[in-house]
Amino acid sequence: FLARRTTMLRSVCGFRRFPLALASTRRSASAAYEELGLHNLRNPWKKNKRRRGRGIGSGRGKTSGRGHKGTYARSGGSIRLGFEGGQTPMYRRLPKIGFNNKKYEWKPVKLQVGKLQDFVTMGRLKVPEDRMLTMEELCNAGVVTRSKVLKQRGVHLLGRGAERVTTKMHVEVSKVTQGAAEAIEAAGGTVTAVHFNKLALRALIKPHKFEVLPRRAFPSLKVVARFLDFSRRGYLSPEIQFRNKQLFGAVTSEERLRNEHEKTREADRLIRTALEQLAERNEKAFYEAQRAGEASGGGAAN
Amino acid sequence: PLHCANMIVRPLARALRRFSTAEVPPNLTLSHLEILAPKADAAELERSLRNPEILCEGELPPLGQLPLPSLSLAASVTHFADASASPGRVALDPEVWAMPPRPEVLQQVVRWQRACWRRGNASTKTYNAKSGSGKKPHPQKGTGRARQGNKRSPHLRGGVKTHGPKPRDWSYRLNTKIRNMGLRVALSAKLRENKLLVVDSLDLGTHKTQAMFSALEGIGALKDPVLGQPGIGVLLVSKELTPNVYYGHRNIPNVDLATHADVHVFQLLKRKVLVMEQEAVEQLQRSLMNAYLERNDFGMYDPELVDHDFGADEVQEEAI
Repeated sequence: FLARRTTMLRSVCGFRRFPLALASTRRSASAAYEELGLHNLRNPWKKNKRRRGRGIGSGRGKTSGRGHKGTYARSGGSIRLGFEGGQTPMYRRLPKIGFNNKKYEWKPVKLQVGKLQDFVTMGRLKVPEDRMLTMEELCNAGVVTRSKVLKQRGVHLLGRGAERVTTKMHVEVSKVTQGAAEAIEAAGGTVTAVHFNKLALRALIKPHKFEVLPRRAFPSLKVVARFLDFSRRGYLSPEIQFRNKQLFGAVTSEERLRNEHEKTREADRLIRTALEQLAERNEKAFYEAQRAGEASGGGAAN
Repeated sequence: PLHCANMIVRPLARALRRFSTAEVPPNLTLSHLEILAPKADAAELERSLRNPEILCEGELPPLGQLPLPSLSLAASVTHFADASASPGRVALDPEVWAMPPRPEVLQQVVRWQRACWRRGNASTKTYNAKSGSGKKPHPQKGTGRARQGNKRSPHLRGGVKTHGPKPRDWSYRLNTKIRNMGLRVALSAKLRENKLLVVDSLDLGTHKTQAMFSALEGIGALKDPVLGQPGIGVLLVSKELTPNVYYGHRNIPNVDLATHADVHVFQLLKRKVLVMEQEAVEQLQRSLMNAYLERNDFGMYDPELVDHDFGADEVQEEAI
């Protein structure tokens, strides 16, 4: 009886809600502070866990809040999202629509100006004095990975390490940020953002695959706006056109590359024909020698 | 008295505090009569709590209030051998030494510590490990017996325990800031309860236990434990572990030694008296407050809480 009465008293007085170091308020005001020891540490803000299946008194015994029988009462028993009892669910009744446009987006490979400058300082990248540095030269030096540039359609110049940039470089890339452009121009160089579609990029980076270099395409309506913008150093903007014509005589590197390619191809053709002729002559000499050998009736002269 | 009827369940000593005079019924014996002495007045107690003797300057904030930035505390530094001399003073960081009593924080830290100390070696066998084959003892039907599937079923003699314990790791990660706060609250409790003594050095020049023993006795740290007052023994906190202190303290019962980096809350609460070296105090303060150097959570300083008078509730209750 006494034990029960104590429990009732505790629950009625809300023992746990009282500030604990002043816990003797229930008894008398004379002890205002109880010395903290290992025996009187209590945390009233810790909630009791819900424990199912532990007897009648808990209110959650036996069926443990699951009711009687059926799928939901079983271990692992639940139905998957969208299931409609066997009826063809909504996500199969309705037709598929649309396509994923984001799949066809391409973002050029990010290149920080700091990294570019580091390669120049190390001597791994030779910067030409009077003409533009193309993405092909960047790939050859190893600043960017060739396959990634082709897959992601170009190089995007970004501004981390801008304070390191001191060399005068004239760069031609697909995209450039404002900070990167300012950094390069502060060092005396220039940046031009040119549109490269898949074919144009391939022609730039793998010219040996082409007999004649195709012309670069004009940008589509969706992207032409960024090339007309000077803040993004677009090659179609009047300021950039004027500047490049003055500095290099041409807006982009296209003409120069095409000329070089023609010469290379010509040289290749000449070499090839010369080699073919040499090979023919050797062959003739060989067969004549053979016939002479047969005529003389011995293999000694071979 | 009538109100004693429901107190019989609790320990006798606590029940007898309700007596205002030191009358002991003839059929009861007590080992510690100090507990029957009349308790100090609430106001007087509060005042004594705010002005521990240890301090040479500074007053602790009222109970429940956080230390305001303007508070400055200091403790006097004494010689270990003769506690009367006081050569110096050490500044105490109020955030470490003037925290309000937070038993729930201490509870969390102590629970976590004890859980981490658990060996977790309890183990029972399952069907796999228990001897006996999985053969059905007798056919399902036909014998007049109850149906049995396995010789070692839980309801049978010699059977396995259902979901019995397996060796497990009971430790868990408690927030580092709560662990840090636990130390600060425990140290503040020691200061508030006049259980702190700062010494210049614990090294007495000799490894003999007798020297350490007499020094601690001289402080009054080796008194018997009093029923109702928590803690037993002394916790010595030094800057570094030196042989003299280590060998000297070892054989004295209820005396622990720790470096400032190894102090923990359980130790602080278990041991009554805290004797710290001056350098240990400084270093401990610094390392505890390192976590808060970039602090900007000043929302803690709630004006309502700061001005709230916790004593007023009690007075009202008594009146009711």
